[in-house]
Amino acid sequence: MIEDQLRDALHDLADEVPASRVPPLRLPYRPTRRSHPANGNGRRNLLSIKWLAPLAAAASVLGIAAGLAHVAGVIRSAGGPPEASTLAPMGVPPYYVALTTNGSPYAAHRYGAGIYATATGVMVASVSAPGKARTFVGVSAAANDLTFVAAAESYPPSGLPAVTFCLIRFDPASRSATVSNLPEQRVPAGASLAGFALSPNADRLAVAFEPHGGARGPTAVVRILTISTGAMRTWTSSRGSVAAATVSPPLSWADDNATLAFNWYGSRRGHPGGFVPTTGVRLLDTRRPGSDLVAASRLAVRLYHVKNHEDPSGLVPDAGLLTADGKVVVAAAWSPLDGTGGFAEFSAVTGHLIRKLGWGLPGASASTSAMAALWSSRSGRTLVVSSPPGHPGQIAIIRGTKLRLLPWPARAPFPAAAW
Amino acid sequence: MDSGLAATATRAPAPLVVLGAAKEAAVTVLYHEHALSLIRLAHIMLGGRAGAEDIVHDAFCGLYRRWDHLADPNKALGYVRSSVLNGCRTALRRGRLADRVRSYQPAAASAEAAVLSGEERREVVRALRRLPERQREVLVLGYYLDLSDEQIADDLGIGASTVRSTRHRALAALERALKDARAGDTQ
Repeated sequence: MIEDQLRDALHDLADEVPASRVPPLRLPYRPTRRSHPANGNGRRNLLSIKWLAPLAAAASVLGIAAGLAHVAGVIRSAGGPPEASTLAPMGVPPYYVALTTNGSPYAAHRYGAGIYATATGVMVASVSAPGKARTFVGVSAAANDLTFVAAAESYPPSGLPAVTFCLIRFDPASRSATVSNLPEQRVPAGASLAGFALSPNADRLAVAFEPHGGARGPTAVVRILTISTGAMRTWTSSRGSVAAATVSPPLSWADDNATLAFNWYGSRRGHPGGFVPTTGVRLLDTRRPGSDLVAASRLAVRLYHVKNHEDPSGLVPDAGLLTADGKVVVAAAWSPLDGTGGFAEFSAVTGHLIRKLGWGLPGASASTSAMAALWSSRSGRTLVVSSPPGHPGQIAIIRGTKLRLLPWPARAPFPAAAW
Repeated sequence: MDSGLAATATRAPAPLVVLGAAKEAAVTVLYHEHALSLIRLAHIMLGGRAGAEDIVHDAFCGLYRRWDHLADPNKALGYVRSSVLNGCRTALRRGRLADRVRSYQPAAASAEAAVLSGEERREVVRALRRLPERQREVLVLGYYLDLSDEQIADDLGIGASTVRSTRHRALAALERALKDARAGDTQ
């Protein structure tokens, strides 16, 4: 019975895609038989390799001419904007890190990481995923505006991808970035990365993932690496999962570098649809003993407007972000009563709504899923947000009643960025 | 449902014997035969979000680049299917929370106008999206593409017995979630 229902539902969903949605195939390389003959056993003729060398040299010359020199994993900008730090608006960090395509139409799902000037949206440096990693899939930033972390995914020929992490150090004087691996921190193949966050002092990297450990294993793991010492600490739970997202960071730190906020989605084993009252933004004091993720943390703000779990504010908040002072949780939110939305601040002590920011009608075409708080000032007074009401698909700074749009680079997938 | 297209989705791949430069033609033929069913697979895995076509196109470009390294060209379809699933996982990691949050919103007013069976199917899809990644993939490959346990095991890089136990757990979880959702609706 359930199998028939499932089969019918899947075919109904599949039929939403008409045959006309199949685009023409554009293969990345079409050999010209006259100059690049195949030798019959599937290997390209050496002649083609001889041709590739001068082509590559010419391409690198063009790259330098465009202002970028590639030096052993470092791409350095030769030109670029005037001192970005002098242009940073409204107290927002002058630089941010974002996923960045390499411009190839055949690399739609392969991203490097770019460092961008907040005020201008100009990329000032970039790095590629190192080694065998296929692509970066997410970014996080420390408070010093100089240190970032990117998650890199490796795809073996068969099987499920693993995720590793790279530390990116940016030098604004030379406008260069260097990348180094953090081999101790890793999400095993087959597990689902939920999110990660670099601590404000750039010394602790928290990673949350959902392992595939079978029926009796944990359903959520939070692992924190202290970069300077290599020490690792792990918390687990089998009573839910860290809600994964890139739009809204699912993990965030207070500037004591010890309190980690995570968006928790509580459930009972074998019952993925059931909510339990542990759901919401939870605060983990990493100085305390214990390894049970739920028992060692406390519920600060309820999220998710669901039956038997009503939020007293009447709003429907998205993932929450802890401010650096540890007192406020900021989240995109909307009201199911009148369809208005924007950003809401909740007390991390009482869980109550403090105030709304940038509130308005999202607009008929706006995707509420893209509306997110990406960065907050220490007290939450200034926010960097994506898709605020009235400005879908744009990044903006909100401070009180002021809203200032920021330029968004075309090569960065919206809005995978961290300040 | 378009039964002809569904047949394309579930048909066993024709044996492929490809030499040298013919790989371009082989990949193109494979694309014409299976692109639609794979886009539909990606559409299901992404929960209706945009990007299914890009993921499938990217998977075929990857197949083309790796063709010379394939141990067995007859497994090309399995390779590209795995690539599509990988692409979907990456896309979902970038936006999973939004889906989860949306999936827990109260039923829209338009649901009143929907026929009951349609609403039931949407409930099934919503419950499916809440399952862990591996369980969801096993169910979709089994009940949409009608793959055998061995084919699913090959695609996911796991054992056939793991496929069976995963499906058993997933169906039980799905059934429970549906029962709870319906009980909630009648409260």
